[in-house]
Amino acid sequence: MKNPYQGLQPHAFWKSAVGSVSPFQIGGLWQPKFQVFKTDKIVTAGSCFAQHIGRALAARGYQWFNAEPAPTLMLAKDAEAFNYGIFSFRTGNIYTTRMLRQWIEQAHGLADDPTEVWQKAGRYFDPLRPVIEPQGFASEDELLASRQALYAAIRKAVSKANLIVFTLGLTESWANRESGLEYASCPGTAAGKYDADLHEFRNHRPDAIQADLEAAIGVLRKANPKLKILLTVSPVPLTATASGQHVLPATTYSKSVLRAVAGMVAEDHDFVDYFPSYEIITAPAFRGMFYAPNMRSVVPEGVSFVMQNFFADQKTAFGGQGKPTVKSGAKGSKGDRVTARNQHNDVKCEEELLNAFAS
Amino acid sequence: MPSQAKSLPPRGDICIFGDSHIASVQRALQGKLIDTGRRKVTFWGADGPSFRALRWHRGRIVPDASVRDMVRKISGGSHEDLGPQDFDLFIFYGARLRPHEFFTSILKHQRQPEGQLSSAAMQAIVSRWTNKTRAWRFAQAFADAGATVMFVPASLPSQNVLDSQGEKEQLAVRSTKAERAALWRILGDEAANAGFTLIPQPDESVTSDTLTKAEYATSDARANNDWVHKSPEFAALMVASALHKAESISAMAAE
Repeated sequence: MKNPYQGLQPHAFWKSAVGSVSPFQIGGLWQPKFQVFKTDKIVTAGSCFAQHIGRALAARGYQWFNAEPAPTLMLAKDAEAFNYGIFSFRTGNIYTTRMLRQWIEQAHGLADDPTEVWQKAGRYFDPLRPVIEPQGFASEDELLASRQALYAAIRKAVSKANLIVFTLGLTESWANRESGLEYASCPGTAAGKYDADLHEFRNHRPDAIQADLEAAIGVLRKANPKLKILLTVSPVPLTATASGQHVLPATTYSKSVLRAVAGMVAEDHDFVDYFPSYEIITAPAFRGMFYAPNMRSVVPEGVSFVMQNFFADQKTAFGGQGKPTVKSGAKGSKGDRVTARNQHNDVKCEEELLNAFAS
Repeated sequence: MPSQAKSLPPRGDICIFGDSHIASVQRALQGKLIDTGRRKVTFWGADGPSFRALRWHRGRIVPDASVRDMVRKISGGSHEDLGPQDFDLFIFYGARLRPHEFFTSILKHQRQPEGQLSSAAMQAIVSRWTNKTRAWRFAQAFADAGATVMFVPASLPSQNVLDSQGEKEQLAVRSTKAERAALWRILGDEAANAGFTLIPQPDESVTSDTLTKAEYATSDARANNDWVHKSPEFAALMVASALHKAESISAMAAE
């Protein structure tokens, strides 16, 4: 062998893998570390794009696990309005690894339950998930009780899942300067009141993001040593940046950092993998064709193409799977099925609220 | 503060409107288990599957041609259709509103550690669930038109009749008296907001599995696997409760 590049497969070379083929012929982007079985309980969490993955898996007969289902009597559109069946538990979007760490540690009793509550017009909003109830909670007690239920759902999801798919979304966030609590969104947007003295902007750096992700993974694996983790990075650009930068380079910074951290963490653990949905949507080879005219939203065809790659690469690595064997009575609850029914609905993205404050 | 049903003239005529459950009321009347004084009682309705052939048209409940004969038979031919001014008191009986659906869904949900439900989510459930029931919408329309309506929903499933494990899992759920009272209160508030009065099933008739005690099942319930219908004695209990409530509302209005 003259050099290590000799004998590599065609996918290792740009010309054969990308340059000389149509975008739709680009394949083999992922060499999965482990097989995802149709019988696996799959938990999804993270930013908006994770919703697509959960829905696509459910639609393909995979066992997307809804650990906090709506009551069976609740209509699908109400369940969606109250954020049931959007993710595996009712955290709403988890944009940063710090938020993931907060949720996981709080749910497992490793961090104090935050006492901060936002109020508006007699209603109560959870700073960690301000849009989880369309009109907020009726009381502080109700809010805190709901959060305890959420913690139970997170613990249940973690302990029973075979795989967690987590989509990293943002590096930018807002936090309480005194308590250190990181919010789901900037106070004063979805809910709450912005206080320049109390609230601080954070643009997390790679080392902090990696540390938070590792800490969260540590808790997850302690609770469930067999749990596997699949990381993705959201290809959805920032709605707005508070970094002082133009939103486009701010997006590039944010996504680059997240992509790098995801890759490093996947490299460090055999039970963590990275699926390149981000690249499939954003790489120049795909010519931006999977974005809507606003160049931000991902069109359904893009999601479909991402998931085609997911299933194709799984099949290439591990062969096909028959129909899932589901024991009688082990089917998802109606709450589970809510998501499958709603798969064509828009994903829910609190970040979109920022648009209301853009002008 | 929820609105209250309108006042009832003390000797007004009564209409029992509903589905197959009204048969037990008829038997209770025939057995003189119900004392309505000098009030005349008229039945009006159709069996369950035919209920969807009853429509709201120009301020009245009108049967499709397909069920007209059935309605005529039940009403004794007195009313081809039914309007809010036709009687002084309407008792909606059974009428396709099945509280066990609500009770089992909510209680099973709340039994889970992750099953907490916000009051707004509960309200959304109750509002959708009640309003999808045709008779609920009829009752609201009657109340809007000034009628006095007491709504006696279908009874909880009968104890000792559920055969299969599947039926038991689906229809029975452990509950406490306080939990049942809370759920009845939610339904009652929803009815009051719609302008009529919901008559809850007396807790004395309910088991800890949220079923109706076996003594109120029909005499041939087990033979027919009929966990739905109840005895004339049960009907008498419920109608008496409805009449009593109507009387008290009337008395309050008169003060």
